[in-house]
Amino acid sequence: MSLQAHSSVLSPSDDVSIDPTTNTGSNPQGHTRTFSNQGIGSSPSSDGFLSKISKYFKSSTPPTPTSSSSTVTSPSTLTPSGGGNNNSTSTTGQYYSNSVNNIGSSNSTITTPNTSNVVGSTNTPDYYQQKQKQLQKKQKKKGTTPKPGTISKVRGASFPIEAISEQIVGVFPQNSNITTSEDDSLSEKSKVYDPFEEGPRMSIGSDNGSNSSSAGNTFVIRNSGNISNYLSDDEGVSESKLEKFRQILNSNDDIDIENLRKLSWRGIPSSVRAVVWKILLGYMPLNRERTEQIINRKRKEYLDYVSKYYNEEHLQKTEQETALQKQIHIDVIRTNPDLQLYQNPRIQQALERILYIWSIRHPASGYVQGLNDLVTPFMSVFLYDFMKCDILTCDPDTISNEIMEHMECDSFWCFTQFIDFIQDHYTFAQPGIQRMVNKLEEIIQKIDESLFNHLQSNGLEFIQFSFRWMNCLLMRELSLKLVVKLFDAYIAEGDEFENFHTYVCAAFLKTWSERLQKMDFAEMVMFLQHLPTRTWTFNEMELLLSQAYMLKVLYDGNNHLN
Amino acid sequence: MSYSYLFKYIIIGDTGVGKSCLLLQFTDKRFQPVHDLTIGVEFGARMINIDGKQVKLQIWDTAGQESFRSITRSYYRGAAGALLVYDITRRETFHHLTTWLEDARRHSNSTMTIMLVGNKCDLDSRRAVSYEEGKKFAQQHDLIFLETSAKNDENVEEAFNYTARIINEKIEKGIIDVTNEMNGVKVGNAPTATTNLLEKPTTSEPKGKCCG
Repeated sequence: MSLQAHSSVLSPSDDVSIDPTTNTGSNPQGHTRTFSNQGIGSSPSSDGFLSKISKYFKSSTPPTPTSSSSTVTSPSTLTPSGGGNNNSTSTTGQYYSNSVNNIGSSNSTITTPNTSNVVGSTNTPDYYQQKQKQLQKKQKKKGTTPKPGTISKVRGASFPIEAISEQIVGVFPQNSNITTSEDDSLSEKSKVYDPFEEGPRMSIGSDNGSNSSSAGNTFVIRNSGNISNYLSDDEGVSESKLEKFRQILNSNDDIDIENLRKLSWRGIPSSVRAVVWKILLGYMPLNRERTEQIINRKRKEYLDYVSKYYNEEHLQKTEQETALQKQIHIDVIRTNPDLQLYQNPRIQQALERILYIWSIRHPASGYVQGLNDLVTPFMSVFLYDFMKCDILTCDPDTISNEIMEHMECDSFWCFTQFIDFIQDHYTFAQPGIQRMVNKLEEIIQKIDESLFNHLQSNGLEFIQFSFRWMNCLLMRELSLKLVVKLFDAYIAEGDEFENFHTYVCAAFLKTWSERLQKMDFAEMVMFLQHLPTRTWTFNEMELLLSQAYMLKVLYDGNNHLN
Repeated sequence: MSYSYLFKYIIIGDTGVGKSCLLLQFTDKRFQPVHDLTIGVEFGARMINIDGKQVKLQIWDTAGQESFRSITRSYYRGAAGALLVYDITRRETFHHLTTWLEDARRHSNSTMTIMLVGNKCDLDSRRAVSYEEGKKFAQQHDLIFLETSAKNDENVEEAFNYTARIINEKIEKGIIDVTNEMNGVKVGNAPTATTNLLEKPTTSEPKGKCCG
């Protein structure tokens, strides 16, 4: 299933000239940040832009989708029927409200033929048709097909509208296959390997039907063109976007980290993800000439820690250290139990060493359960980068010792830096997590009062369901594939990602608002611990990130929230 | 579905002793050999029948790791029953029982019923704590005791049900004040008194040992 069209709404992409790493409010560190005005024409604080968004987020009775199984018609099948570009503002504002709200529907589909059941305003398709027609004309002139996700310019307060429409067009390049794996007609050729495709973690007491669907049900839009297989998780990542990454990464001068950060926020192509993560996390130097030397030194440093602190021949461990190792050992076996890769002894041993070394080097926090989850995106991404194959199904025993070692060293350092951003989440009594849970509660009270009241009147406390969201950064709620995408944004955010994560959680909770409000206490707790995210694709993920970004822009730095 | 009472439970004990597996077996009748780590708390619910009365159990399954103790402590309040679980194959989980018990007694209400559970009794060949030791500890600390196997579904049902019977008895004897929700008991909308008058509760103690 896909919500590609929706997902593009308000996407804080560099492509729409919004600088995702900036916002209008002042952040907790006290830096005052400004919105990038390039191509927008008016700042987001201008009435036209903000009032529309505020209206939605503050609405106590948000608009409801017209049907739980919403469908967006492919623009390519539509014919133009009035509705000019100039008067489309209000129309799409309406569309935005509905589409945002509609994220809760797991049944949303994009179909190509014979459908005209469009979510929200009936004016909306006209607008798409119009835009599609215009773009087709443009393409004919230029003799090019639109690049997915590419938006040349966004004007005035109508930023969301333009973003929606142009990205929708971008989603349907003329040579692309739009397929669902549920579709019998899906040819083997168009089934492309997806390295991070898998289901979300399962847990006890599953009571919703969503778990019955297999991971194979995930719907994806893929470019069947000349992009090689290992790039196939890059839905919506165009060649031009990849090219932008390449330009930065291959620069003869020092790497432009700020541009890299901005570019990375909305997702990094998997072919460059490993290197970009390493650069953004400060593991790889900006000067390419020094890369090898520095990486080698860091790898050696980690291996020295291992032989100094871990390998038993060299030392007598204290009782505490033995207990720590035992604990980590038990947990490593229970990490990603549904992923074959993480059941492999070599992978488990690497994970065990990373966690052990990290823990003894961070005595203030020590090992806290959940950290084991947080190492795995790094291991997966780096392994994938070295192997360029389906790491989730390939035989880990075929991985060379050298690759395993490099992957382990790199994962250790990048994980270390990543967790350094959120140090006090894992120290005694986990104050950072308490802080985030409290803030989540405050945000929800502002943006969805009826949900907030419903939770309160049923006696459901935020800590009861969101502790895990904070402790594991939604890794238990989303598939590894989507978590990797989430990490793209977090790594781009750097030391501010804690704050952003709170807004992601707020947008995430709001996604289920309508359903939750029909449930009692027990139903809500059960639902929230087994959320039906199994069918989620990049599209839902992008929409989630966009919503979180908008919430952050609107509410962060607001005194009553801080 | 209507019920006479709602009892709130908490499951505590060291990490990896099988708390979540016990809950999963009880609520879903299935066993997951490699279970995800519990982060914070998880929740399960099931209806049982105690002496003809429908009783709804709401169970908080807590994370065992020390780091989460400050979070999980708050769940003692308002619990009527607790399953204190150790792993019969790991002696240190038995040694930590005293700390767990102190923690539970300090943070719960005095009427909370505690059931000591020695889990993984299917792994008898790797047993590190004898049945007698478990039973002795329970007697010393005034706890009910059972050995269970979440894997083979042995005594799992009994562990939850027997605790509920004790709570029910405490209600009948007036030890638990059902009007105070902090005691972990809530009166439902189904009649509670009729069956008591008609039939005498039969609370036969289940056999404590699950394997041999």
